[in-house]
Amino acid sequence: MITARYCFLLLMSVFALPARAGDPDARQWLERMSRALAEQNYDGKFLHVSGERSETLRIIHRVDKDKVSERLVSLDGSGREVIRNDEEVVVYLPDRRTVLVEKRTGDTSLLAALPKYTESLEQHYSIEKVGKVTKTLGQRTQMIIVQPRDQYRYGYRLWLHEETAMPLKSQLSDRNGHVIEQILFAELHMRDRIPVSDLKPAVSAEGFRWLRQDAQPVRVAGNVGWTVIRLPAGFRLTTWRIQAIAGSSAPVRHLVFSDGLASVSVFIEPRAPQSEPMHGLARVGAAFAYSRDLDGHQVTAVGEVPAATVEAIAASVARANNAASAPAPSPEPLPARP
Amino acid sequence: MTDPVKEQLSACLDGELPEGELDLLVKQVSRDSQLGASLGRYALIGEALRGQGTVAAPADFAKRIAAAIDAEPPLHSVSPPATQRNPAQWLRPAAGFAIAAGVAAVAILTLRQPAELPEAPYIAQTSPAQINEPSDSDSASYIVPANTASSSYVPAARLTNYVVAHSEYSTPLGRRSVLSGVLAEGADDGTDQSVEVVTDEPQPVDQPTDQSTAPGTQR
Repeated sequence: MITARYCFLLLMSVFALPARAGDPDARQWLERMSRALAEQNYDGKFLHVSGERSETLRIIHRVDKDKVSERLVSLDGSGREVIRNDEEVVVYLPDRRTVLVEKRTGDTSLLAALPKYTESLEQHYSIEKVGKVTKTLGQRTQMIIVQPRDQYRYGYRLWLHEETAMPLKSQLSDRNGHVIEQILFAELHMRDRIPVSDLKPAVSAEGFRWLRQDAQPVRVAGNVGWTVIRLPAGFRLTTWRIQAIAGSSAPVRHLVFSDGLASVSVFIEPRAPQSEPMHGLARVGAAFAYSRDLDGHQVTAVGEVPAATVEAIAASVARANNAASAPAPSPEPLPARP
Repeated sequence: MTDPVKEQLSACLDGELPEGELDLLVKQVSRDSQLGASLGRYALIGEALRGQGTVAAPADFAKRIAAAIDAEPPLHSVSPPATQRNPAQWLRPAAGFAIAAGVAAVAILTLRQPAELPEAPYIAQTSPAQINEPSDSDSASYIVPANTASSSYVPAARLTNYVVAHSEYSTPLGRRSVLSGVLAEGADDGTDQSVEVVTDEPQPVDQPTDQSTAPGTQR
């Protein structure tokens, strides 16, 4: 009886082989997921596993009259929180008695920035719906696998709740399938509405060091002055701005590159004369950063991408030859090595 | 409980379980009602102590968890040979695992409208991940050195600023991942090093066939 059941499961798994690449249904699942994450009201607890670390976090996402606010709280003792809304992102680090405030400079609301997963994404990822609806974490889920086609980006394995498309389980993995980070929801409550009080920080930040930069620089006429000569295939400049960043004395040039799924920011700021230049690779969670000194400026590429990608992009930053021109919209791509 | 599970559990409590095995362990726990019940209890203890989630665990949390673990003969008997372990060192993995075990049992999910969740005709325990295991695993395309240095030129706060500013341009999934990393990194080591700085540069293993076209990866 048991053998028969395993045979049945084995057969099921054979029939459940992924559909051919370019599955629009799989992309629709991704879009449903992005919409759900952005547009629904929810309150959940999840386990974030990265390497040997694991952290329990709570996420509260509130949408009210197109205004989005979100609170992410560490439940594991540090009391760290991130609270974001249309105006700013505030990071509370009570273990360091520090609060970081980043003013959002975009003209767009959080809702308008939803990604579109078009067919062109298939050039750099295979996106597949795997099998039928199965049970994961006790819920009916559809598995979607996003597999990068080269070494410059990460992939995802997603277990999306059948009804809401919320990712109940997700794994970030490299091109060889090695899992870099995993998120598992223990609790997820979809709400009609979420009280404003749930978005208040639990920490009293009195006496903390506040890092903020309120004065917003005026955007100069259509010229960022810097460019990235070569980008990994598929990455294009999607936006750029000159913005104030907490902790930086001078306005920072911020260029954003994306392949439609992964994104990399390049920050360029004049280096203060007395400060040591930063050089090298660093990691924050699943994000890598690569910093270098260039022409009296500090250049840093940051993104949820492999180290090779931020390094390649940072290495390729140069002053724009023609001061009047905006950065090249589609620089020559780095060769992909599938 | 089977022996491999005991070993994995032991490794997990010691914080030595390779990340890839956590998934497997979670699956096994979900099939083992006895183990699941024990761990579920720890998860409940943790949840109760945490209250609404924003209250820091009380000072005797470690002791109480330790007492709970000691009270479990199966767990106690599989503990590795007595080594001097600082409770604080294994508290986090243990607590984290307990939650993971809770996750394995069932994710509590409520919908806005009372949802009808029809019984699945079958409960597939095959993991689609195993079906689709990539065959190409001979070599990584790059290697990130594990060694880190606490003295570096990359100030933690500065990079956190950048990472937060960057996250606003990520996809919803990427952003959650990046911000979770900001909250989790270095939160428990008591140093001012929220950023792990890798001193050695990554060495690409598979060099580009035409190096002249890949300035970013040349050495």
